[in-house]
Amino acid sequence: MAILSVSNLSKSYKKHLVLDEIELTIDGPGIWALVGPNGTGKTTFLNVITNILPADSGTVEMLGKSNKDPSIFKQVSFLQDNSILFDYLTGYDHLKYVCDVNQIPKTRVQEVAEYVGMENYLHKLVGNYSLGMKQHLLLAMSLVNHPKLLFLDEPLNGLDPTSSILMRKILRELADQGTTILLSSHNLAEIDRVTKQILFLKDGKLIEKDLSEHEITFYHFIVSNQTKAMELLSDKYETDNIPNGLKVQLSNHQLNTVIDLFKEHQIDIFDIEKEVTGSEKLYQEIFEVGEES
Amino acid sequence: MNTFRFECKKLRKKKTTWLAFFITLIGIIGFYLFHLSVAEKIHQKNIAWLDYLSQMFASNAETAALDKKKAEEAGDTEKAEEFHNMMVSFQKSSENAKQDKEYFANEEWTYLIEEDIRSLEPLIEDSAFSAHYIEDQPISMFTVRATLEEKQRLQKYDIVPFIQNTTYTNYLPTIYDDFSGSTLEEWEKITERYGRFGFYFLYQLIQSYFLPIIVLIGVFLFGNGISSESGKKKKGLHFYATLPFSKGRLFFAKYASGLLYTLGFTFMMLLTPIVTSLFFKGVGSLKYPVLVYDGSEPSPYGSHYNALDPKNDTFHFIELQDYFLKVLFFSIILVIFLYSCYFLLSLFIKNPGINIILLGSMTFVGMKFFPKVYNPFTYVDIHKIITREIATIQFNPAIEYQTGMILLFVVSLIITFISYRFFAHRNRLFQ
Repeated sequence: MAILSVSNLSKSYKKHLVLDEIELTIDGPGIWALVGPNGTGKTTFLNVITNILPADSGTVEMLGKSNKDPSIFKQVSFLQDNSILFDYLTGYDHLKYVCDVNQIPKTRVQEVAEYVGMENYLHKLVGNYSLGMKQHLLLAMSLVNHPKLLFLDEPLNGLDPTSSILMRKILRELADQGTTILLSSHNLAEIDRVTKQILFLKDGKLIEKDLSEHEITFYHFIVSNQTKAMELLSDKYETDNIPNGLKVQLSNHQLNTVIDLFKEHQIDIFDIEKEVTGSEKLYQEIFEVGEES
Repeated sequence: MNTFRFECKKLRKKKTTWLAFFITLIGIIGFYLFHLSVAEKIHQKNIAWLDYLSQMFASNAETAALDKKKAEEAGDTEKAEEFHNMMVSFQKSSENAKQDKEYFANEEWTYLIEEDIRSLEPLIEDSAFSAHYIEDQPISMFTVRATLEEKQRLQKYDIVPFIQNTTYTNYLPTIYDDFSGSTLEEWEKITERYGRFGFYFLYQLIQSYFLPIIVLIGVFLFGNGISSESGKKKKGLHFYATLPFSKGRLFFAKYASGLLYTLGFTFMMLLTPIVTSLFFKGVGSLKYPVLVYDGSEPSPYGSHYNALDPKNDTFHFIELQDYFLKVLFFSIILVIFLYSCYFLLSLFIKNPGINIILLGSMTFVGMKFFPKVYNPFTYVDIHKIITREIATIQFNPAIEYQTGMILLFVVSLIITFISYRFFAHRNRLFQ
């Protein structure tokens, strides 16, 4: 049984076709990222598969049930944007209600609030929350029912670095525990850090890519002589200046060659940091975006 | 039930709701206090007027006494006797005014009511007796009869009457009077009533469309459960979209919570003048008689020839407690009706301001200009339905309380069903 099965799904606004006979099957746990420029229909796609918006055609099944059956939301959650929150209620009010409709004891409220790190402002009015605090509440709401399938629409919006790290940690933990996650995001660097499975949405179609096949590794070197190091490598590798050093695109076996080269020319290496990326490159290829744009 | 409780909590926690609630509450209390102060002022004015009359008649009596003395000294016995009679008459009038002033000042209404009865009875008993007039226009015999019976009931149950802007007979105005020009103004002035007690004030408020106004405020505050959450910026309905329960239940949770709060709001506002009066003049008597018209026979020659018969048309009185009981039951139905209308409107138009203006206009135009049996808005003016005033004026006995209750309830059910179908269609509940 597929965890998520989307078949022949189409949706248009007036004459503008947003989703064009989309097919998608996700069979097992893990994290999938839904990527596309603004206005390509990422939110529409998530809204249609969760039946918030009606599809023009096609079917969606989640955990073997139609998306039109409300009981699926006992095992499926959707983190939407914060316009669904009620400013005059507290975070606790929201979470308790979600517990109530899921017939889950209210002790889960405190548990999930602590898990996402919002216990300090749980009893404050949502109207006084910052953007990041609202994201925490939305995440907590979507975790109340221990979902097997979790949709997240721009979950990293408005998060400070600490919260981003926490969010990534939570998503990885959930995936490790067997949850299937489909998240939409603009933040390609963050996507690189949480998943290698990317769904690009272009012209109403989904393009599935496995990032591990398109991975690019950069090494950040902090060195004693930046100019000399640059001179040595710029002809052979793709390089870029960074403060007190340089960023070089290398494969693992090329790394030793570069280290030896620096030693040979008496350039001291103070620090090396590895950066694995790929989604941005793929994004540029798929959406035909040049560096200058 | 969870969703219903959650919706109730949402309504409770909105600060704007509480603000509007307290403004309305303060408005009603303020209006009661203003009304009370006007009543007291008129009462004091009546006392001052009687005092003035008493002194004026006494002064006239003194002048007549002097004139009498002069006539006696001049040996004109005929003139002296004439002045003597005038003096006695002025003294009597002065005494009467003084006595009335005492009754007014001490609020000894029994005596004053007795005087009214004494002045009205001859009009009824002897049809040849000339009618009472305001300026040069006669007061209808129906009004005289109704006023007399009202006074008799006040006397029987020892009930304190309303304050009126006159020291003469406190007439009960009826639809049978047909004054015009300055006489109409004078009639309205002297028959305008001011209730100082809670029940009386509420009774008067109900005559002034208080009930529909309060219900409209209530639905404006609590009837936006769906519209306020389906805008482009606030998508509260999406909050429920991915929760494991039927969206049909959501409709009823939102509908029922708003309705419950509108009902609560309406009853609290109805109770406000009564509770406030406890701190001032008290609540008054629930036995106060309320005039109910029995109607008039329609003309056999067609509706164009219909005319009220002030001499033969009958009436009866009900007690204020029965009147309030009817108002209470009707309030429930009126809340359901206006709330259903507003709820349906709000599914189409997101702006609560536009919705309330539309519904308010529909209500008052429908109530004022199209008094028909099957027009539900006809029954919004509940005072005129209970007293059968509209039925009498329209020569249509079918426009009555029970018809109104049934009609409003049935129409409310139909409107609610339409709202549900529309909500369900828009939210794809029947896919």
